[in-house]
Amino acid sequence: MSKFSPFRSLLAITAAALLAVSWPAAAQQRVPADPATTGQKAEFIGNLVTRSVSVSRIEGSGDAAAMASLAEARTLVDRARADLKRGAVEAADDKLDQALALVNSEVRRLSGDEVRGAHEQEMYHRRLKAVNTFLATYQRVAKESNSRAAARRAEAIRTLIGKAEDQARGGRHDQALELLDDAYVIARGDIRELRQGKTLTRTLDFATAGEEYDYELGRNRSHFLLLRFALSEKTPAGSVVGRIESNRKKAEELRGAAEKRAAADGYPDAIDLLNQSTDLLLKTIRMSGIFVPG
Amino acid sequence: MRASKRRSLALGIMGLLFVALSVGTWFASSDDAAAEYGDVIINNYSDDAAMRPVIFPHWFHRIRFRCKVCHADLGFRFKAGGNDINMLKIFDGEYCGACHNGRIAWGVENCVLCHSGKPNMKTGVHNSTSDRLVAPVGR
Amino acid sequence: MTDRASIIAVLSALAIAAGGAALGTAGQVPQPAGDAPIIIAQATGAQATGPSAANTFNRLMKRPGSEPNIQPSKDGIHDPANPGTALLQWPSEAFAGFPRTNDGNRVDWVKTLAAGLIRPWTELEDPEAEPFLMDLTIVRQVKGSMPNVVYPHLEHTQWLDCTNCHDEIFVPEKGANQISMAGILLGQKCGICHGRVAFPISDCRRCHSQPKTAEELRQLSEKSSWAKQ
Ligand code: HEC
Ligand code: HEC
Ligand code: HEC
Ligand code: HEC
Ligand code: HEC
Ligand code: HEC
Repeated sequence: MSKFSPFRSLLAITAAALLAVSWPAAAQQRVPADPATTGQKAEFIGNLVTRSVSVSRIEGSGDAAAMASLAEARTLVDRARADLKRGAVEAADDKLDQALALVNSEVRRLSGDEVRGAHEQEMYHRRLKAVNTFLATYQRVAKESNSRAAARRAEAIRTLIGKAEDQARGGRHDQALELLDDAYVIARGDIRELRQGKTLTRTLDFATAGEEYDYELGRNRSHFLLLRFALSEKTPAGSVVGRIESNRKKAEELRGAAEKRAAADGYPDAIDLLNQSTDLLLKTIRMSGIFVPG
Repeated sequence: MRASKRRSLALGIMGLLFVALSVGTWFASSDDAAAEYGDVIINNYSDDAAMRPVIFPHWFHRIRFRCKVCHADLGFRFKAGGNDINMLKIFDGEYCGACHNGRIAWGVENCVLCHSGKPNMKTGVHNSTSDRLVAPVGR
Repeated sequence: MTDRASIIAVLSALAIAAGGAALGTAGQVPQPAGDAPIIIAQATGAQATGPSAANTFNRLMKRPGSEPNIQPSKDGIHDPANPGTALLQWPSEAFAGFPRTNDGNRVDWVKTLAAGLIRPWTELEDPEAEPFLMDLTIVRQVKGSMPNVVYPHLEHTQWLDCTNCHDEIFVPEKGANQISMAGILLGQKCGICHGRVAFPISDCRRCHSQPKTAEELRQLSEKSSWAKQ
């Protein structure tokens, strides 16, 4: 310590900081055992052994060994509280950890694979849906390039999905998930090969006036909400607030008029009216102070 | 894993320094203080169990893990409170328990690090755009 | 290991004390967590706050996070009475030196990741695993003066798995999804993440990033095909 070098220590902490950011951290770290923290922990573990989902699980099971462990855990918490009163913080902390370990191992024993199994089953169903979508997408995308190899790839994916479904039917959702994962990895890799580096543009083109009207109605609705959003982000000056509100009313009237015209099949006019309403709203959104590009 | 031990020790000492250095400075006075963007409050069970609600900091975890790890591999749904997490599942190694097991991250005995919220808060992503639109602040 | 660890801890503590003192004498705003990254941030000039709170940018912004990256004990949701709260990391400490934005975490996560300032794991059991990246861009034309929306798969696959979006949020087919700004603001589609965890909606330009060409503007202002028939 006598040769304290600011530069070296800077390097050291820089390295330490970078490492700390790069690696998730430490097992076995725990909060310090001091009266406040351990006191709080005693309260929390007290709740865990008296009014938690774990307690309901143990009490609902009628399992004698589990009930005995729970009783022991409760005693440990009481004794920890007593330790705390006489300042034996480390001893209290130890007992609390023991109580926690008892509850932890008992509920895990009781639930067996049930909790994990239910989670895996749910993940399996979500994954299955996604993988089927990817298979369909792959087939759609591959059709453009019209390759015969694609049909074979699709067949391979389908086979894997089939195997996964077999496993799932037998209740082996963990293995089913692994098979689905293999299918997924093939599908996404093949899709990437066909799409990598591309830019696809969704252009606007409306087949009928009604369609364009619907789009404009949505766009108009978005602008009303954007105005509200702008006002939730910014506080415009008092003098502007009145103008914002009167513009908003005006835009609402224009929209009402548009809806009337549309109801009478006058779509082109309705579109014009909606555009006026939308343009007015855009101007008003800008008045509120938010930056809108374009 | 060594680095993190270093980090935790360093953090401990820094904790003391925080107190010394931060008195009345930088972020000192703030009435309408706001939590970090993306902090999730989870309170399906906590209030009823006399626990403080859980606060999950996205910013902290995304520095260490990609979204994929939690939301694809571990199966966290994109919905605050939507995973019905409880301690039983955590003990069993699911959700938070997949990491907070004393191996990848500190274990469950550190109740006070997760159960750190003010009582009676609503489950949700703090300060999300949609919440503020429905109930714009100060209005 | 432990003794080396503690030496480093003490060293950093001293460095912090020194750094804090130096800051104090320079007449700058003292930093809360005089951690190493903050010293780095000083060197690169990435300062979080200006000299006077009264003359900040966006004075009229009333975002509740007007004090960005505040420490947990003062953020309004963490309970300062909880003994664990003081042990939690401060965002400002973690973010020192990260490229900044004006919204959300005030962190540009795309740039932070690209610059290698963080190295988030992709697999829980394999820290070295690389993400599956795909460079496919979808542009969605928008009517009016608003620039078109550019949706880049590349930046998303840096963080997310394909199944995070397909098919629960988006059908993987260009144009097959109804997306509107109203829906996004209310937390649907892109708004499931943006406005909650990924950069927020107020940063219009990051999504609406393709200005329209004069030709495109002309075409869009003309009547659509239904009128030409
Ligand atoms: C890694 C984070 C984490 C840690 C550590 C943790 N919990 Fe929890 N706990 C949760 C989450 C998440 C929930 C669900 C909260 C909700 O929905 O209200 C929860 C819920 C609970 C509940 C109510 C539900 C149930 O299972 O009965 C109790 C009681 C509880 N925790 C006790 C504890 C105790 C005692 C400790 C310390 C021994 C602890 N927790 C440590 C994350 C944690
Ligand atoms: C360490 C695990 C973890 C990581 C990494 C993670 N999340 Fe989350 N995320 C969660 C948890 C936990 C919740 C809350 C779930 C609950 O309450 O049941 C959540 C909730 C969400 C929600 C739902 C919010 C709502 O509207 O209710 C979104 C969106 C989300 N995360 C996006 C992301 C994105 C984007 C990333 C990557 C930048 C990410 N998450 C990284 C664990 C994680
Ligand atoms: C993918 C792994 C992973 C999952 C899942 C996970 N965490 Fe963490 N968490 C970590 C790691 C790693 C740390 C850092 C541990 C350290 O600093 O030693 C951490 C730290 C934390 C911290 C402390 C942050 C600080 O300021 O130091 C909290 C609070 C936390 N996690 C809560 C949760 C909760 C609540 C859940 C579940 C809803 C959860 N975590 C799920 C990996 C995870
Ligand atoms: C953050 C969400 C997100 C993620 C993650 C994501 N996508 Fe997409 N994907 C989209 C959106 C949005 C579209 C455009 C849909 C539209 O225009 O209606 C799209 C479109 C597609 C399309 C359609 C292209 C076409 O030919 O029409 C394919 C194929 C696709 N994605 C594959 C993938 C693959 C493979 C991955 C993983 C490597 C992936 N996506 C990850 C959001 C996502
Ligand atoms: C599942 C979550 C999720 C969804 C859904 C999502 N994004 Fe993202 N997006 C992210 C994350 C995470 C990032 C990384 C940057 C960040 O976190 O701020 C990102 C980054 C981006 C970027 C890159 C910005 C840059 O600096 O290069 C753009 C553009 C973007 N998103 C647009 C969209 C659009 C448009 C949609 C809807 C079609 C969408 N996103 C849907 C999570 C999502
Ligand atoms: C996360 C990405 C994202 C951000 C941020 C974003 N937008 Fe959008 N915006 C979209 C998408 C996607 C669409 C739908 C385009 C389409 O029709 O396919 C859209 C559409 C729109 C439209 C057309 C109306 C509609 O509902 O289709 C307007 C106007 C608009 N945005 C304005 C804004 C403004 C103003 C902001 C900033 C306050 C903003 N947007 C921020 C993604 C974004």
